[in-house]
Amino acid sequence: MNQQPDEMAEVIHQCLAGDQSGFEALYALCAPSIYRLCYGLLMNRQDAEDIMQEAFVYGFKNLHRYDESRASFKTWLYTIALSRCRNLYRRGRWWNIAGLLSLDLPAPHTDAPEARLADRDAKAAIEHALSALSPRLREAVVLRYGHNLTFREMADVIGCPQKTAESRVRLAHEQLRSVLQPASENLLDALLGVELSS
Amino acid sequence: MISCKQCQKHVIGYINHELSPKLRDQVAKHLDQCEFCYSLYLQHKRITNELNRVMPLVGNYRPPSFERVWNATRLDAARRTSNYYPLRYGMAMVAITVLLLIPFALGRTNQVLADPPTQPAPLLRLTPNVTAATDEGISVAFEISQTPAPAKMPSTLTLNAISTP
Repeated sequence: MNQQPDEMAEVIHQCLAGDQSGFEALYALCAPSIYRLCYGLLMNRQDAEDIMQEAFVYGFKNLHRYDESRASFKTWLYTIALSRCRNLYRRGRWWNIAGLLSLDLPAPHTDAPEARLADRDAKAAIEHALSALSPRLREAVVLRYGHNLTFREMADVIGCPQKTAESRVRLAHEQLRSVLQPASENLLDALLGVELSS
Repeated sequence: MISCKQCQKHVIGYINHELSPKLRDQVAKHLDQCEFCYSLYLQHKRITNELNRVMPLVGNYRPPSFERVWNATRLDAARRTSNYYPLRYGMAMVAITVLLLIPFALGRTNQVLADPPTQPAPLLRLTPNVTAATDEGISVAFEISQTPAPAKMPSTLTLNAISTP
């Protein structure tokens, strides 16, 4: 949500005037973040592409309904994409593909091979941990850390009170802590727990 | 000093510098004095750093081309236009079905409007009086009198007609 509001508003006006280059510029501004959002929630490239396309088709067709006094354009588009992702959760397709087929996903674009390898390991660990979260908690983590949304913006996108957004991030932390923690730290925690309780 | 539960509730806000100065101070004091909460704080901080570093990389692929999305938009617009008229017919069929079902729905309720009035209307009695008889005929005067209302409405009403020759 870090786009310049003036630039975005100008592009939206271009689109509303029926200029196709405006739609192209709007897509270039928003597509990477919307795609990352969809991928973070669905953990599957094909599904993320389909849902992102659905979200943009809806957004382009209903651009005249967008009210800039209520929310930023990206918040609006995030809300659309999130609702499409939720529809897919309900159909249960994402779980079957991501969980059962265990697709081998290509690495992101980084510079050095060492850094790429380290990032890929870290990313794989995070993706594994994210897939273990419930959809609601995963939404909170993806919006918070993947897109740097404030709790207020998260509440707007998710459609819940701000306190709920905060508590979801906290619950996600609790669950990620147990998944991401190295085995040695788990053992230490267990020992500490025994020691503290005795 | 705040409790451990309160501290753990606000520790993520503390890490992200999103607490009010007063609450931040309270959490900081608690973390200084509670080893357990401090260890949790360190774990949350490590996870936060890790998520901040890695999450932007998750899904960092090239999105589909604009042409693909634009073609889908145009196809969708064309499909919606062609589906407009069948939608109208469908709505009309739903409206007709609802209208047809209304009598059945109403027939299952108690019809209080059809009950007879509790106080029957008073009856008028016509009494003929022969006032004059001539060769050409008779003249009759009718006396109209009101009788009190019966307890129950008569099922039939008989009139004694007086015929003239």
